Amino acid sequence: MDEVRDGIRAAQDSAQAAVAALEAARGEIEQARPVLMTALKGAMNPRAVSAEVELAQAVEACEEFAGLLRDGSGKFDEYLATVA
Amino acid sequence: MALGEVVAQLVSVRGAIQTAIGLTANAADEATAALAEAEDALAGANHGLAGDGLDLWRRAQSGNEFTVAKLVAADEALAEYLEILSPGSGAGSRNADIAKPSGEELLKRSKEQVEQKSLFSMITTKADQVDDASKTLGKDLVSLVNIEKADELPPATGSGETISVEVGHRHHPVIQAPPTPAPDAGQILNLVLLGTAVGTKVVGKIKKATAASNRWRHDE
Repeated sequence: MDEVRDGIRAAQDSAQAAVAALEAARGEIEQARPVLMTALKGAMNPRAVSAEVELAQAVEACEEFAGLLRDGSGKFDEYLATVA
Repeated sequence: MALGEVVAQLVSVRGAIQTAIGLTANAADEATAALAEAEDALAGANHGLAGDGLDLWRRAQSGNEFTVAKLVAADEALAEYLEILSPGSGAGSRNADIAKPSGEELLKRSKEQVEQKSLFSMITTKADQVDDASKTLGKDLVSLVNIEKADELPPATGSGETISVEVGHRHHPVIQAPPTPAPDAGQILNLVLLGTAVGTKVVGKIKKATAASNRWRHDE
């Protein structure tokens, strides 16, 4: 059981690093989006407009997948509490 | 807004996107490692909670690569647009060398990332104040990077105005370039080079982001 616990803890550490990276990435994008919106104000170029859409989706994705990693880590905590 | 200002702002946005690509690609790798470790630890376990946790992490693993692909698409769209706005300036060049930090490196460099974000903010907010002499611009920016890296407060240098910016719980002096006209193509090129240097400084030596997005696109 100790081996399982250690393995899961190591996995949770990796997941935590992933969450930290996602949050940092989201911060970068959130910081850049207002600048982008200002720069593209009135722009009619469809490729330019698509960049805003892609970034908005990326922010949502960062939040969603960080949430999945946290939820998964919580399930493993519950599992370890159950089998301990 | 002048064309040069728009271009300078878009270049700075591309720098932020490329940093985010590196971070997100790193998250994808960490999620993959987490899943592999959990699957190994739980091999043979037949428990609902364990299975639920694994399912959630599998969704996160695939989703992270989706995020990288979205960011790469945004960067490519801006590159194309910049090439239209400022053809031949280098602002719309493709980035075939997007870097990515390892997980350990990321955690160790969390402080450095905060400092880099501060630098990014200053660059974007001061995009309309870029010095009209490219050499002076380069010197000022190098000074900023050096000051950001310093643990002690160095004496102010250069002809610009010195202000104090809070980074975490510390205050750092930074130099504001004096108000000047909008940048020309040469200055935009300098910003491109600066963005590359800052990105390289922050995200380090690993180059898997492009590969991750390419994998995603090929799998699509």
